Amino acid sequence: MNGTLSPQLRAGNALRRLISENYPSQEEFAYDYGADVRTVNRYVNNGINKIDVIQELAEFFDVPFEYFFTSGNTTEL
Amino acid sequence: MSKAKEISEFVKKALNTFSISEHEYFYSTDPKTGERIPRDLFSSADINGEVIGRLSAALGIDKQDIIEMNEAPLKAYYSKYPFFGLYRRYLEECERQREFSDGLSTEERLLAAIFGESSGLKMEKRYDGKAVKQRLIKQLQDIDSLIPGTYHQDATLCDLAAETEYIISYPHVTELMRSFLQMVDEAGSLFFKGIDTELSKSEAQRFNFLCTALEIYDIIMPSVRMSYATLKKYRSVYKAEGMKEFTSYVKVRRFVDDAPWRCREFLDDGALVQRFVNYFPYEKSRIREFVMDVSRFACRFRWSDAKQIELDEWDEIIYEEWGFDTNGRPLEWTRVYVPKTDAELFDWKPYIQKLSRAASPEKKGGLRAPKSEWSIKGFTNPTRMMARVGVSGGAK
Repeated sequence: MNGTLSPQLRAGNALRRLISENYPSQEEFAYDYGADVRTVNRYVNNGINKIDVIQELAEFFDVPFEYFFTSGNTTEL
Repeated sequence: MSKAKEISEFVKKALNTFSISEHEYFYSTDPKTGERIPRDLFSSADINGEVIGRLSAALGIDKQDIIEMNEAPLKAYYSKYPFFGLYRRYLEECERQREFSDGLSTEERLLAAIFGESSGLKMEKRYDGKAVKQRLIKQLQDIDSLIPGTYHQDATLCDLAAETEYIISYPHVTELMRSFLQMVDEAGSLFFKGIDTELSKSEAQRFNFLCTALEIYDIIMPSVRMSYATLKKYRSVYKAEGMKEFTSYVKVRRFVDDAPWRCREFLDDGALVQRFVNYFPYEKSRIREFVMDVSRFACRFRWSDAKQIELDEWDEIIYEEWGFDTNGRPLEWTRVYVPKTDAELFDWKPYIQKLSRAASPEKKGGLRAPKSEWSIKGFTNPTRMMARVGVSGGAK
């Protein structure tokens, strides 16, 4: 199913991509980031709807805030 | 002065020397209000043997040394571990540099704080709150183009609060960390030795002292302070768990909770910082959080037209902390970071950039946060707790 994604889901997809580029698994990322793995799963699968969370992730991965909404990230993965 | 009073003063001085909280001995907590109520060390003029025994165990010295107020064994600890002198200065520097220096004396600052400008003294502010608010609004408008609905055109910001962090300079921080890790190493060695064999009297005293001074607690039972008595009590459990890392068994609160990364000299010895994170992997995420808080203003507010939100069970727990409005509806808060300008970062920027890199993924040059031994072994907290409760006689 390919459709235009909500900003929240786009942010979740961007996170999924950043994790796969930097960590062997979401679990490893959650540990390093200091988050609960269930929270990370929720972000990746259901999207991120909190601005401060996206800002924190952007700083951590050293990408601009806009990265979470752009960069070929407009359709469902 | 009575002997009991003299001993009380001696104990106060000892606790103060090692930056150990007086609370346990000189205060009680009102069960209704939670307020601290000062109390005497001894409930009467008599010297209570049980109190002396507790103090002897906590300070790692003989009972007789307390009764005779002999400073020698305490001085020996103080000389052996440079940590204490350095730590005291570190805390003083944190306090001193936290306040924005505006050339006023402490008394003048107090007067200005109480009477405002009518005192004739002007408190200089570190940040301009109005400017931060304007930037927050502009940022919300900008984000609205990416996340529609972020900016509420016809609403106002309510209960806006902004928080931030600060950096200090403390050139001795690496020396302080080195001494701290040496003490943790030493406590760990004694711990593992004590699992297998009886410690000698001096070893047991040193272990007790280190556990008190470093605020070491059982990791599964956070209210149980580690001591040789605790070690002996749970020896069979610790042995059965069979782990190799001290921090798999204990939580060290002293110094770790004081955010040493606040010092701009924290990263000067990279290997030492990695060693610190090896001991305390979770601190890497606290460094990450600190980077956010020091480089930005963490703004929290509620829109005047915020919609009522439905809470699930978990949210209710959270919102109990955050509160409800006057109509009893859960408050929908928004939290956004507003980046500081170069001027607001003073000369901290190069250090914050290095700190941010240290907190980033290892692939991008960040610190390695090794997985805890017990999570690898697959132990769960309830299993470990039950084993301890079993020893305490609370479970069959």
